[in-house]
Amino acid sequence: MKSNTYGAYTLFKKEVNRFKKVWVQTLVSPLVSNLLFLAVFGLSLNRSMPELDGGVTYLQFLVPGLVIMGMMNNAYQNSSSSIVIAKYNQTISDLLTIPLRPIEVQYAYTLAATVRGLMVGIVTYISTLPFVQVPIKNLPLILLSSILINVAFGLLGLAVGIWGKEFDRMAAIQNFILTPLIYLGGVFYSLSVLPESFQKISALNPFAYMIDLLRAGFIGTSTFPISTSLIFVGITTLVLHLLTGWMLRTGYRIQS
Amino acid sequence: MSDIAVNIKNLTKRYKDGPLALDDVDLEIKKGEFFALLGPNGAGKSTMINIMSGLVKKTHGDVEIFGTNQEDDPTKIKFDIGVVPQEISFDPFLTVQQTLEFQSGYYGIRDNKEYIEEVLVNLNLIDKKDAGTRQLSGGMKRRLLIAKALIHKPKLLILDEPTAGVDVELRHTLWTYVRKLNEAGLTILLTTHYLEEAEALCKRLAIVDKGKIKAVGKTKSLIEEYSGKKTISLNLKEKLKEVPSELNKYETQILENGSILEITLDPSNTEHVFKAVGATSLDVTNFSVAEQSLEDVFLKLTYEQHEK
Ligand SMILES: Nc1ncnc2c1ncn2[C@@H]1O[C@H](COP(=O)(O)OP(=O)(O)O)[C@@H](O)[C@H]1O
Ligand SMILES: [Mg+2]
Repeated sequence: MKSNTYGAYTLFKKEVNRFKKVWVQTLVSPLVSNLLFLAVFGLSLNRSMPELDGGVTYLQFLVPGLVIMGMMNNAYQNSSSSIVIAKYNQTISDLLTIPLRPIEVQYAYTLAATVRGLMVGIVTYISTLPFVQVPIKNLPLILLSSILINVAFGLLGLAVGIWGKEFDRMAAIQNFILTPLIYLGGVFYSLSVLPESFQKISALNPFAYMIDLLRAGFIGTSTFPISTSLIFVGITTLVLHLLTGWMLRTGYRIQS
Repeated sequence: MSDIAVNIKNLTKRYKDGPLALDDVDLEIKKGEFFALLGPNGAGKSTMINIMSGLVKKTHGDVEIFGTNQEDDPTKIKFDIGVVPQEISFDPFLTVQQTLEFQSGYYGIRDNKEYIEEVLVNLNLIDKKDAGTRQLSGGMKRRLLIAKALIHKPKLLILDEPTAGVDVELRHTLWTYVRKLNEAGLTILLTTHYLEEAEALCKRLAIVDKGKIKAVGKTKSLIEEYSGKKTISLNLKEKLKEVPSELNKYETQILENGSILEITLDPSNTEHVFKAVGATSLDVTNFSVAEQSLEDVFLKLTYEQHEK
């Protein structure tokens, strides 16, 4: 069985092409909503919020959260919507007939999702610079964790896309599961300010570790120990990798 | 090197909560053949093809294409075959040219411009190369599907009902084109429910019905084997309940609630049949003789069971 790298690259290119065509929508809409968040929270809360450890202001705390949220949403949407649209257009069968191994399909989708997530993350960070200077304390950690987060959400989107039948389901997953978990995972607030019982519940939320990890790369402080978060995020990514790999290998919901 | 292109053994497919679409099918197609699977809708033709292309999971059996067992290396088989599916679907955001460029890329071909152009010219689509796939007519879409299946120069082209819903003119253009491909050495497997199409294109065919292969052989010899045959219909005075024992060894059928008895004749048994009829107590009021065409044979093989 020889590998077909150029074939996988072509699928990746097609996936990137898909969001490049709607790049305004892809990049501008998170930009607008992020600036809105900054305005709302910045104007209302920044002054009244106490500074965190190491003299980090609330806005400096918030921006990494917005970066992560943008990456998560976009990486997820890139692969999930691609699969659901392909199901709708009945071109999903191409995934079974083109000469790519399941793992090559998986990498192509995940890599495209990662590229989109990273682009949104970078644009989000840059667009907030005029309003708030967020330090970059640990660049390698930022890079590592943002790649892991994007890969995980690209894989998650792939899994949900394969599993789901309609756009409604995608939206339901996003609205009722992902968004709450992201919000409750500490995008807008530090988990350490929560009452202890809520902190314990939050520690079960895998997204909380992702958010905490990436933020640690920016501001240098974290709620969970970095090694714990890395292990959690690594395991989550691995599980999603195994799950989507299994789905593609067995033709789950695609092959009759 | 063996000269076998497709070797299918004991292939069975039962869809989830569905029918037995393929029931222990064996099939062998040689390299260079133009072979037809002929059968009515729902016979299991697409199922067989979709198992080869990877769209459908077989329940059990073996599929070997150009010596590669599907279980050992499904990807190798995908490189070797080009499939024109029965259902038309394209990415609506791509042009004809882009569709074929991506398709080439999936097969690892970096620059396929010249061949894409050649195929588009041959299929009379070159004017449409920058058109979006949504802007194509039904016939153009069908031709684009063929272009897509050929773009990586497969060794076996599989056409699933390529002319269903296509007008007569295009049908003949397509026939000419695929005939030329076959003459140039491409092995072709075609499915169809038009006898005329199988007869026009294929030297060998298999008649498929209800998931089984009912007959397989040279198109010509299938026709010869059956076209020498005639049927004689005897109109009877009294309604017949069962075939008289004297006629048991012949192919017979009771029609019209017993007022007609139909007997199949071939040149070798005509005399015997007449004698045998004379020996019965049947009261024949009239009779008619009809030639049997391959079409009748096909219908008989395939529809007989459906009516029961
Ligand atoms: N995806 C499917 N799920 C369940 N049953 C199916 C599916 N596809 C085909 N069938 C059934 O399998 C049988 C064979 O269908 P098919 O292979 O499409 O026949 P043909 O191509 O000869 O018309 C039919 O009874 C059909 O209803
Ligand atoms: Mg069919």
